[in-house]
Amino acid sequence: MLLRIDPASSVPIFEQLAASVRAELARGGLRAGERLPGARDVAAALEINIHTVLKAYQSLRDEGLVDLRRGRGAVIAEGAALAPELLEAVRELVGEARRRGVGAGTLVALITEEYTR
Amino acid sequence: MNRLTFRIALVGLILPLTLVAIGVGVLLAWLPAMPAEIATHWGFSGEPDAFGPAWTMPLMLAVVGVALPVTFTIIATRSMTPAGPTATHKVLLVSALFVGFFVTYAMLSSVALQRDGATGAQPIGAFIGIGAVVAFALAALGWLVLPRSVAGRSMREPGTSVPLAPGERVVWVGHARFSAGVLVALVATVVLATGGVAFAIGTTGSWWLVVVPVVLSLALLGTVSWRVRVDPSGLTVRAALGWPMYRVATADVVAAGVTDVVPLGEFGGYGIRLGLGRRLGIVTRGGEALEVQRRDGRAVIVTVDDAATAAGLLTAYAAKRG
Repeated sequence: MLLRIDPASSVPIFEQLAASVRAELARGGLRAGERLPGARDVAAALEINIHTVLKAYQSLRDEGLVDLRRGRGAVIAEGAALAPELLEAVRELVGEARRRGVGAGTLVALITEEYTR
Repeated sequence: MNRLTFRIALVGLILPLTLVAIGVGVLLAWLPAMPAEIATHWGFSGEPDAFGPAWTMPLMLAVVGVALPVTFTIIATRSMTPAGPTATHKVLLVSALFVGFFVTYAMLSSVALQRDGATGAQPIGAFIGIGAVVAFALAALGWLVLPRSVAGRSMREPGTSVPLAPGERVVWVGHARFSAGVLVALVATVVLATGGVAFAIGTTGSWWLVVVPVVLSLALLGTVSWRVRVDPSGLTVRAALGWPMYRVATADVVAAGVTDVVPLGEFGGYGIRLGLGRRLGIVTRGGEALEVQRRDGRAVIVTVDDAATAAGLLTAYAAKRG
């Protein structure tokens, strides 16, 4: 699993870490029931505080993407993996936006607006 | 039966089993002239230290002389592709010939020394030495009889590039774990070995043999699960208990890619394995694996899922370092 953080970014590190896991789910690299790497390992690898990692895992749990189990660590929840159809639809959407010269910022704004309707 | 199959059968089965059959025949013919009790085992000093009834000799030869070559040949052929044997397959096949000759020779010479009322007290060391040399020569001939070895499956480029933005920290974490089937086979091996050791302790009273199953169990426990990490410093593969640990520094990485591992064919089994061509394998299953080639010509292979991403990131870090 690829984990990516930018300490210089204004986005909190725990948010970036959670985004890495979400990206991995979207890519199809994580399956339901699979265990996330131990918080201590991730903290050591990325040279960040272990509590930051735990916070990221907790926020993923709050979204229903992982189950936190005592002794088993963080496990990808049943149904957390993105449906392949949805991933395919997103790819199509982005392709269409590119063809029409619509940038990522505009597209995200459109999607966010659609959610608030 | 085509030429390839015939040559493999000749070296791995026909020759060794013929030798064993001849040996068993000779032993049976000698049986009436043998003393009722003969030496069946020799200690390190070359003096006999165990005795048994004479009829056990042809029986032992028949069992051991058939089981070992057949096992080697089955292991070799089951993991072989139609392209032909790799160097590891050839080593297994000539080992079948080596063992077939060697056990026959050892059994015959030990009995020959005791025929016609000889005391059985003669040391056997020199005979065994000659036998080993001849067995080795036979194995070398077997090697020439077998077709040229084909290269194992070669490494593929990662195919995924992992872009690194300045200031960004990117790591890849994964794991290599024994599949359930392999684990069952390994636990069965340890249980069998423990049974064998319990029997040996019962018959010889050598309590220190307890060490064997303990070491085997620890070795198994220690290698069941591995944590694999790619970070700016390089590749780290660490066993669940923290030891053993293998590292390849980014500066030592020449190339990283994806490879397909055939555990029995390339590494002769599972766990921490050394393959031919100075390849260290952390092998927990067959199939997709990360291969890292080092500056000194050695390579490390770890069976992980998503090896392409790991290889891509390691390649990116190696390139960044120049």
